Amino acid sequence: MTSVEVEDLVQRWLTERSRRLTGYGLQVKRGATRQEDEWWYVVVVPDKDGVRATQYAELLAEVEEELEAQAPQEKILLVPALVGV
Amino acid sequence: MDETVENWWKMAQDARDAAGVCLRSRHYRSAVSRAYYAAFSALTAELLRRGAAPRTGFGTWSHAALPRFAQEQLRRPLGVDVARDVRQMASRCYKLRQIADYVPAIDVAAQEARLCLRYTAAIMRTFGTETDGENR
Repeated sequence: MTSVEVEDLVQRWLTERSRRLTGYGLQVKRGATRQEDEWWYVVVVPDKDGVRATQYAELLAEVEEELEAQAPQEKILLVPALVGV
Repeated sequence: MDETVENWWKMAQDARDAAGVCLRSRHYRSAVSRAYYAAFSALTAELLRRGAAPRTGFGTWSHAALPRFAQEQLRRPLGVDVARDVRQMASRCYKLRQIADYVPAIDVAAQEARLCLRYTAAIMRTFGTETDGENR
């Protein structure tokens, strides 16, 4: 997969899950994805301020696990980041 | 116990205890960071004890790879459910640690520190160590 394909895959999962579960959206930061030691590091940003850290962490971990179930050959790590970075 | 394994266990115990100290003194970001590192060290010790080979030149696994690798390695000896639980707790600790150390705009409070310490204590109990740093 290319970094753009990885970003598209992650964004599809985030769009389906995040707002339904949390009331806010999570967006892939386009162009920030990098690969290191077979792992894709994908930066994911909430679309509003004031998110609860536990909820944000839980959602990112859940989406990682679901992505792994769907595409076990891909190694994708979702990286939390600042709003507006 | 192998000396390298023992040293990782000691690091895990030290980091867990330090996390408890940070929690009690309301240094919540530091508590999360130390609690995660305790979990990371405990997982590293357990995988080394079971003969898994870390990255050449590092002596351990990457933070990104460790939870998933641990699940794969622990599935057979500990069972599918326990291996999954360990992986999920380690993943969530890592996410909280990333937020605590790198995302200052998101509040990290006692709730996050306690959760991370509970995950760490559960991981360490799974591997045969004793108590919860929050109460030490």
